[in-house]
Amino acid sequence: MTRMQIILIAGFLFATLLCLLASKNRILTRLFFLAQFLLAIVLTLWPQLSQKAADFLGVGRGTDLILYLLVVYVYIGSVLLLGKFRQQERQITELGRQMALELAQRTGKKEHED
Amino acid sequence: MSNKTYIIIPCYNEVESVLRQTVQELLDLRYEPIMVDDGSQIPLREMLSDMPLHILRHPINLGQGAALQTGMEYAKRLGAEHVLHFDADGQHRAEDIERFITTLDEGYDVVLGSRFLRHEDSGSLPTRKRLLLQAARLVNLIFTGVWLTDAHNGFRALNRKALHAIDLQENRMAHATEILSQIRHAKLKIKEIPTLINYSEYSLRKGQKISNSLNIILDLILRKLL
Repeated sequence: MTRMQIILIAGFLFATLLCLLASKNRILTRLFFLAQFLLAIVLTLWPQLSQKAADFLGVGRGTDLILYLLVVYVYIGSVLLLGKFRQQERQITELGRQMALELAQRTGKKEHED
Repeated sequence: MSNKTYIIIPCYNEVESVLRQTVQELLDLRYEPIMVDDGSQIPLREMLSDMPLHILRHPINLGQGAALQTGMEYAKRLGAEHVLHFDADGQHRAEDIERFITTLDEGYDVVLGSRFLRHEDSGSLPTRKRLLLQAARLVNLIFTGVWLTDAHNGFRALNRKALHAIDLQENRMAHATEILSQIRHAKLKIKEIPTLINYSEYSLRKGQKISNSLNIILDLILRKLL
């Protein structure tokens, strides 16, 4: 094993732990992270596998294939995160609105009644 | 006022003297203002505690669209028949409100103020602003299919039907376009009437910056996507 492989694998294991901790009680998310890091570790240990996949798909090198997949992965991830932000923004708005409505008050004196 | 009309005024860090003048003009005409303090640094209820107002306060700044929607939710609870959207900065004229309500009574669900129906009104617009508004009209048409003579004019009146049909999700300035698409969706009857806007130095400073237009468009696109 090369030094780079050791560094990568240590990094992946650490990231796996973090992701598993961050996704408590969500079994699907956890399985997704496990599968993802398992794949990463396998490809690190046997780089020729990504070369084979690249040859199969007609991409020059294995590293190129991984780069292309990474672009798609980051893009989809960002869109999902943005959606999550919008959802949270909506929840915060609703919270602020309910507080405003609960604490609404009439100041001063009423000049007339309808 | 024979029926229940409420004037919704979103406020964010307004200058007290300007705000007092805006509100006093409404009170003099016996309107009931609903002030929505959108998380100003100095709470509105400290500033205007001596005036007879409904005051609501967002705990944090959420944006003008959110403030309008909060005001409308509150007006619904009060059993409003008509609501008006009115700017805090003194650019709208209280004496115009009556014409909005008369137009609603003619059978329209939403009445929108326009600066481009009378030559003397549009003449008072700064040139840069006029060009920007023409572009905004086009954006409105593309996103909503509604072709108006003005865009982002914050002076609007809604009857009870419209009040219950509109639910603004765009917290910031894109709500002005969003409201049009909801009007179209709910098949509300709309009419534009001429309004004169008083452009003071204060209202121009508080108003939309040109650089924010792109932001508004992006907000709208995001909303379509997500």
